[in-house]
Amino acid sequence: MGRISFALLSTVAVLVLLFGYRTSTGESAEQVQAAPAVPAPAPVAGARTVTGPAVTTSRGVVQVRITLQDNKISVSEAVRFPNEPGRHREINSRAIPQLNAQAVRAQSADIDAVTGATATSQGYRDSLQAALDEAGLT
Amino acid sequence: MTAAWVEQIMGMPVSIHLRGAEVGERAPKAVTDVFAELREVDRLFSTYRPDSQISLLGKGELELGDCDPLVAEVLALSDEARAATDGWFDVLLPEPDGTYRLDPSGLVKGWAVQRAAARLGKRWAGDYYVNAGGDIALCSRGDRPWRIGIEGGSADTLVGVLPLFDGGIATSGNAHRGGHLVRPDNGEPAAELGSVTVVGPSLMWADVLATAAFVRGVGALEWLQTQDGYDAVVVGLDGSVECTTGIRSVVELS
Repeated sequence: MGRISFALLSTVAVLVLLFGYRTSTGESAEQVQAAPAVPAPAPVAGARTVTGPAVTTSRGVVQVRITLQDNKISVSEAVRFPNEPGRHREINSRAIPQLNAQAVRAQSADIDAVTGATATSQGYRDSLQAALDEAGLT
Repeated sequence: MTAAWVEQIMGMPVSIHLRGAEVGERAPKAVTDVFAELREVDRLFSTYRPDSQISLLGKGELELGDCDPLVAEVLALSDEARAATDGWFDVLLPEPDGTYRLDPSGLVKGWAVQRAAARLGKRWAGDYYVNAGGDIALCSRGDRPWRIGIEGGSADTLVGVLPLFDGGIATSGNAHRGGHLVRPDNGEPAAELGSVTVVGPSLMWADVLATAAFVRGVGALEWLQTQDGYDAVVVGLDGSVECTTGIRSVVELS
């Protein structure tokens, strides 16, 4: 423990005492909830589905489900998305093409993992990545 | 054979991937111990938990001497990171109202994942990687590297692929939403680059350097070029891609 750290800490303590303590900084307040039960689609021969966890974002809860046919992703869809009026359409039109692109990329481009800006920590990607992980595809 | 397990820790999915002949469906204890270790780190360092040691310390309700020794270790590393980046990485960040807040999470994540991954590597003889929200600590002991896709300025573009055998890779950027990362000097959102990906022996330092370079903006590539042992891919706002000399022959650009 260096002297500098003590200095840093005491500065912090004073600042916090003076100006109060913030527990959240907006975006990074994202938290992941336990995945609620999502009705599974009708089974198709040889197909299986994997549902990612429900991820809470600043825009609302997002949850992704992928359908695999012979271990290839045939469908990736958002099964939960923010239902704030107006947002719904935006999320749907913007997120789902990205999800599909990511899903297809992950299985076709010979990639084991993707490094990306954590700040995005977006519900869509998080839930999709988790679903992919659970499916053992990445 | 490969297998993967994922848990939600620190507000993001953390996945652990094993490759090797002995991989089974059930998570080995070495894997569940990694998750347990990361959850414990989160308990100590989460700024979103009012009862974490870092929160209590900030509120003056806990002395450093009474904290877990890991807290002092992280604060010492934070000092080191600030010095090594000319102040472009700082755990004290200015707020719009002129105050500062303590947020070591930008360093804690890489540090914790690297630490847990190293412990995993001592107990698992095959290949592995740990991916925490896009920051990855990895190890391949054979002749087959892990192939890591690099996201550009937005989540739907891959600028390239890096085959890697060992170390850490981290990306900083504002993909999808502007202004998450702020400059330590004036609190303004960093907005001069699309993203910065750094790869090197330590995930913690890769993450710190990526954040510092992204926030620095103009001149990031030249500065990263001076960091021994670390290489980088810098994506401009216009989608242009530049690499440090060390990985130009390795990276497979899209």
